[in-house]
Amino acid sequence: MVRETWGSRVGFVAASIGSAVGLGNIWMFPMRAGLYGGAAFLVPYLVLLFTVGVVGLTVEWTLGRSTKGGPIEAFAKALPGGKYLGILVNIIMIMIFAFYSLVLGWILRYFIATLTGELTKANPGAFFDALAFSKEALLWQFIVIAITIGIVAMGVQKGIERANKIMMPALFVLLIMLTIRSITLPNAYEGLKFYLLPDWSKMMSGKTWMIALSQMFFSLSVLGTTMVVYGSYLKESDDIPLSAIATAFGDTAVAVTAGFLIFPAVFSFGVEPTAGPGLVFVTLPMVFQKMPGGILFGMLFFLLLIFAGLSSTVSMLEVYVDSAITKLNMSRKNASVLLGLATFIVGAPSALSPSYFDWIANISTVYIGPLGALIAALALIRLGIEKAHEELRKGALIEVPEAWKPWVKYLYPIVIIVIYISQFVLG
Amino acid sequence: MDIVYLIAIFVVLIIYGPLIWALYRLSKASTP
Repeated sequence: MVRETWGSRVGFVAASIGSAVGLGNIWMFPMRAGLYGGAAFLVPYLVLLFTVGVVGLTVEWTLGRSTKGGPIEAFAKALPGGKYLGILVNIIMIMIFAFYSLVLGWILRYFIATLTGELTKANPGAFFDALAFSKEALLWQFIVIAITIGIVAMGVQKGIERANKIMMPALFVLLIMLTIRSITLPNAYEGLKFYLLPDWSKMMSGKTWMIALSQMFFSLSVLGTTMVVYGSYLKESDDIPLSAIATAFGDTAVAVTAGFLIFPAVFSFGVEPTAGPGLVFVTLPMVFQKMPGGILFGMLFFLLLIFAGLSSTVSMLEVYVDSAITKLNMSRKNASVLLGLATFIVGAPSALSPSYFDWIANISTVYIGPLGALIAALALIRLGIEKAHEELRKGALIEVPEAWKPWVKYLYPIVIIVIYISQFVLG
Repeated sequence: MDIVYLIAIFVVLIIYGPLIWALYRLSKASTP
């Protein structure tokens, strides 16, 4: 069977930015930046973006392209027992999509509630409590999975690439429109001050560097799964290193701009800034209620989150749909539908039980997920660092330094181990 | 101009600058 490929370099980057950009860019990065040094947080963040983030992307795309396969194929070719490690990371991806689809379902419900005006009258906290773990949430989770199936079933170029070529520019347009509205609100200056005023003493702290490292790494979706699969659709004439820079900065641009959107709005209406689901489902809806034109602002904001989330869920489902196509000889349509429905079966209990939700989210993203990045790095090293460097240079539009080789071989795996351990130390 | 606004402009430039440069190079190379 002939392997599908990307239609254009920009299409590939749009899909990769889409995979990387997710809810964490919006609900986690701004608050972390605000708390850990403001603009000074960007210094460690950008240093690590180049040395770890961009390198991580090049590692996974090079592995994917050189083995012409997803994690099962790639790990099996390089590591003893690699096939089973590949199956393991595929299972992890099912678990991630299973709970992520629920969160995106909540967002879809908030979008509709803003559209119909329900959210303007409701208490956002009570609205979220009634929705979060309910039978209704199950329906929204199903809709998210169904939309994702629809996109993935259409294929790499006609489905994933085309959807991202629409969703990513739309996401940036929405983000910039909302930011302009937010920074022109009365008292927006206080929000900008909280977000940006540099505290250089924080930049010297090891904790700030660790927070920046973990934020950046998890934001880029470098988990030995989606990026390996996306890399496997690259042609030899396609560029890897410049695409890695574009993806890393595209992901960072969304995160940084989200701060310009959130803090001026929050401070303008005297609401306490928060992070995580509380920010999106309680704090910001409170701001939208107080803001003139808040219905439109809120609607566009939730639409932005839907684009950010869907472009990620598509990449998640694609990982194991690709495995089913290549390893089980299934058609893309059948694989998308069957595996999408299987994901719903795995994810449905998370819509009804908070403890199951926590369990599946923690196992997949904290305990096992990050190990995928380590396995991918070890697989590439095992295939031969010289060969990998040669592969990386094929079609490259910029020079790849020789230092890439020792960096990937000796330091990059150590950095991943440090990130893995730091999650438990930092909490 | 206030320092906070200057920082805001600087931050936007250092993030969007490389992004636009990279996308420009990639799109230029995509054209046959």
